Amino acid sequence: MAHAVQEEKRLHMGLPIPNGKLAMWLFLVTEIMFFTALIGTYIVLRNGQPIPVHDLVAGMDQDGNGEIARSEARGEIADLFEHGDQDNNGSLSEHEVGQIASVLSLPWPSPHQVHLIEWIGALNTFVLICSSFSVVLAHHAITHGDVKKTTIYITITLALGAVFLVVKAFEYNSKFSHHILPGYVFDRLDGSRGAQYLAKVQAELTEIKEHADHVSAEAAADCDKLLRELTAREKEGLRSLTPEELGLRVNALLEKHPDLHLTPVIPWGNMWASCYFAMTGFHALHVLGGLVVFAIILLMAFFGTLGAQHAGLIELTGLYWHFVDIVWIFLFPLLYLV
Amino acid sequence: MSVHETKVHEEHHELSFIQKYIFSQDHKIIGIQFLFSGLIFLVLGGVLALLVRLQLGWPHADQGWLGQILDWSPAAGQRMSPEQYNTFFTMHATVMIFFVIIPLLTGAFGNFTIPLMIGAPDMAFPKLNMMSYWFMWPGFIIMLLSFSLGVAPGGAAGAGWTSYPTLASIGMPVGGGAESPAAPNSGWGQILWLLSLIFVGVSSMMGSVNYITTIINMRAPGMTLFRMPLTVWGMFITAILQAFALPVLTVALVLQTLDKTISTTFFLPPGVLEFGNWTTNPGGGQPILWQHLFWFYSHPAVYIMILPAMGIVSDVISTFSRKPLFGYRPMVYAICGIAGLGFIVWGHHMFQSGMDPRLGTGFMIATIMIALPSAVKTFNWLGTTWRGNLHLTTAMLNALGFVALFVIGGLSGLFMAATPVDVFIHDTYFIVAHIHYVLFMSSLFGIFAGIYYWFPKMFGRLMNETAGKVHFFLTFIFGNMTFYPMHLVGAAGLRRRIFDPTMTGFESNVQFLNQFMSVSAFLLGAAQLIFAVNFFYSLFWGKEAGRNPWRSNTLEWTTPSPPPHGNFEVTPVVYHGPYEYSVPGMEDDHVMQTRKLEGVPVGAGH
Amino acid sequence: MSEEKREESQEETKPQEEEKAEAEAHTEHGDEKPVEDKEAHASSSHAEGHGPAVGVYTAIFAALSVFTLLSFAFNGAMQSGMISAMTSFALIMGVAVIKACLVAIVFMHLMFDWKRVYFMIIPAIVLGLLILIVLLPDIVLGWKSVAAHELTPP
Ligand code: HEM
Ligand SMILES: [Cu+2]
Repeated sequence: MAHAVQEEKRLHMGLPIPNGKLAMWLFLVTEIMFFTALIGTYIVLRNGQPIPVHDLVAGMDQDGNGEIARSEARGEIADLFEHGDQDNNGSLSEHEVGQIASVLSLPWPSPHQVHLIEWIGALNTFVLICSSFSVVLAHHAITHGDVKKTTIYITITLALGAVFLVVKAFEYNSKFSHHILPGYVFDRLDGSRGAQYLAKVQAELTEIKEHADHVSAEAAADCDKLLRELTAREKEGLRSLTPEELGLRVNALLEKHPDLHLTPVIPWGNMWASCYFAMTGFHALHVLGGLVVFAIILLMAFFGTLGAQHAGLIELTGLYWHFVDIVWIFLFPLLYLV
Repeated sequence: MSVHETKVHEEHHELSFIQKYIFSQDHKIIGIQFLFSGLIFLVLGGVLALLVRLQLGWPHADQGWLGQILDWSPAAGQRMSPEQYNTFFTMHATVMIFFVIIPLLTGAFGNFTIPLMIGAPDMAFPKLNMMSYWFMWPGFIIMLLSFSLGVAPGGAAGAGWTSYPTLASIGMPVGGGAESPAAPNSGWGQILWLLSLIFVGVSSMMGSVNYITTIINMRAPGMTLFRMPLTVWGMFITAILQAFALPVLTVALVLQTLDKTISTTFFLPPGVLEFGNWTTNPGGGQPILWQHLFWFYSHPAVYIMILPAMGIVSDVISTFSRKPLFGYRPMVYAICGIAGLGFIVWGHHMFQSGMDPRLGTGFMIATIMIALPSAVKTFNWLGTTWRGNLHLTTAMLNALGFVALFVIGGLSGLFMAATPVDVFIHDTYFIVAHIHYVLFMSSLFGIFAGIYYWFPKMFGRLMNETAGKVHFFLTFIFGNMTFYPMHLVGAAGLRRRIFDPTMTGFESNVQFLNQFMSVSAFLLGAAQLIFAVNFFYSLFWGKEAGRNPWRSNTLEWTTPSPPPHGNFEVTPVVYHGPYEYSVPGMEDDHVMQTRKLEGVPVGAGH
Repeated sequence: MSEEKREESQEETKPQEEEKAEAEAHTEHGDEKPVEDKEAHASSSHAEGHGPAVGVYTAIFAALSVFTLLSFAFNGAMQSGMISAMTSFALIMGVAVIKACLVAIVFMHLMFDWKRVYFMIIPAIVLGLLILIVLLPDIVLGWKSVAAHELTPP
């Protein structure tokens, strides 16, 4: 029944943007929600941790109370080492105690504890910013019909994306080699985890003792002392070390000799690793997706089909790529800095 | 970007059978594919429901031949095991929500109606549309596979469709086999459940991006937003809800999958949980986080499951009352209001979860506010029928059934929305009554209304009206008999999701009602056979429908039934809103949207 | 919004009237007027074709690099005790927000497209913030006040 109107001009209802761009923005909106949920999870879990120092102190001091301010808790640790050393041999200096306390009272692992190197994160940020820059240049070039330049810029973008992933791979590798993986970190030492920790550290200390030539003399001596303390206390009629106490000792040792092969206690380390891998993993997947699209564009250029008619495609790819960049702009400070 | 222009000319291009019916890019075929898969899963979900009712009605009886078929051990009196029971109700809800209601409403009707009703030749992205259907299939297959004991030795997922941690999320023991220590059927069954829903989510996301783009940018000339039929409005807002809410569910599903497989600790509380001689990984996360993320999606999802039905019902009621829809704009604003409020009420599912009480109050107030737009809609439907020239076709009956029963479901929602009341009825059968009044008795009636209404457009033939009416009345009666008593037993304290409803005295007291509901449920199930027969009979031997059997106004009725590839012979031009029925001074009691009216006053506002 | 201001200042070269008329038609629901196809395409290709000059892109790129260094520097200042953790947190996140805005406005062409896509972006940001804020009482404050010894097995 739609007759008599053929002559009417074709009219366009809706927004004056192409469908593709509208859909890309919608897709980015879903991505915004996705990453907000992911990053939001991280933020609330990170800030929601009960003050961890009490958990560690609780093993030694049953009155540990969550309401005590952190600075007070710090004092408690110091107290414990100063005055509670009837069975403690006073093996740590006051300075060391202060150091431990400051590490342990962090509500979340510091980048240092989890072997995260800030400048690498910053480098990767820069790499992504460069790639964002090159992709806008590619778009600029294609709108001026310059396919050759476009190809060059896309190649640069692809390369930079790949660099990002390679750097990420190195970072992941270091996490694997330090066993900073979900479920592997010793963050709480209650129940069977405590026993596991005692056994593990004892084995490591024994190992170090057997290969004492691999470490400095001072470190070997310190380890030996700890090992003897661990095994010999019973003979001297003292109660054995609790896993928490051992954890403090090991962490202090590692402060002093960072190269030792000892397993530290990292409060909330499992939670940290979970968040770290989930967030960076999904981001890396998005980077990978972008690289695939860039590769396709390059193939088109290779076969000579790329042309000014693809300005839209490159713009949309660019939109996606910038979004991935923005996500990293937030992930970088959240994971590496603050 | 100009699918618009090219598609129309492709009409005569010959397509092979596979291109035409299997990997079709035609929105109508994709809609029909969604329709068929949804209806098939409706059967599966229904069977699961009947198994649940069987157990609840006669928890101690020997199930005889059924027990033999299902391999229930004679030693246990040929009854299902508690784990199996958990699996059945979990999968019933999952299948019904994710594989039936959502695909039928958004997938089937959304695909079929949107381009036709806005005068577009197809969706904005036909290929994406096809992918969104085929992404459902990995989900379907994975979910079906999880029923196989070979794949999921502990049985399919059994932690409820809400899959609350820690029961659902506790990681699998490393090297310890496929059964989770928390419960046998929260092992591989749960992992498959999660994976399956991730696929379904991706599919819906593609669909929603496509729908929104299509509705914004592909409307025929003259089809302003406020000339769109309410069905399209319902689909539009639903798609927006999906676009904003689904990613959050995806995150939750992914995180739980990670918890179960690579021992992350997002939903495990701090400390170590002991199960016999096996302990969980040391946790550090928070179980309640799952509930927040899950309900942030799933409350909007319940509106995803009703808004399209509301749209369909509005169109059907207006058509068969032969009257303009009462208050078109308020109806649109009400849909938007429901959607907006729908995002800030998710906490009403968590009143009893140890949520911060300050949040509880806010969520309570927001939830009660949703009653306002809901009431606006109800009154407007009633206003539309008021003094109308009612044609009680099957579609109309189903639509009226929707209105009547949605009122009951909405009212029970209000009880639960009040925190102090919810403390008593949370997790009882009262909730189950609410769910089924809104989802079964409303959304499904909306779906039936839609099927009876658009069947002629989809297949070119009319469904049998007599059989349709019998089906409607039986469903209405048995449905109420099945679900109404749930309010009573819920108020009496019968808990939901329990294997043996006679465990306590106060629950045994209402066991006779349980049996009554079970019998009604079987009758309700049987009544659906009428629909199945009618559907398939009419598919082949129904009366030829012609272009516009219901004398409706909207654009789809200007096309042949079924519409050809590319939909419209000529791009339609729209001159007024969709509800111009019985315009004073006109011979005809309906005015197609493409008909230009000169000198005749057309309803205010559109 | 600050973005709107930016938009105004950088958009002077555009044929404003058509755009305005269109935008109005869209915001006043229903009074939306059909737009001729040609026009629509003209204005969209306009935005695509004459994006900002390379100089603008380069300037933004330089700014982004400097901001990255800046956040790194703030972190260093915090570690050496020059500023408090709170201050550095605020500064670093502020820098991140500015960087994200620069990328979105210039690289993602929001300076042209904002009025066509804001209706999607604003709700997403509102909802994102909403979910964060609502999670705070339960997951942050709620758990903070749980005494640690309640969590530790006796
Ligand atoms: C007037 C509107 C409504 C209000 C005030 C309302 C309120 C509520 C409340 C407070 C609950 C939580 C009860 C509890 O677990 O203790 C609930 C549960 C539920 N509602 Fe509604 N509701 C409304 C409409 C709807 C609609 C339209 C649907 C679906 C189409 C729906 C589907 C559900 C479902 C599926 C649940 C149960 C979730 C579960 O398994 O725990 N509701 N509703
Ligand atoms: Cu709800």
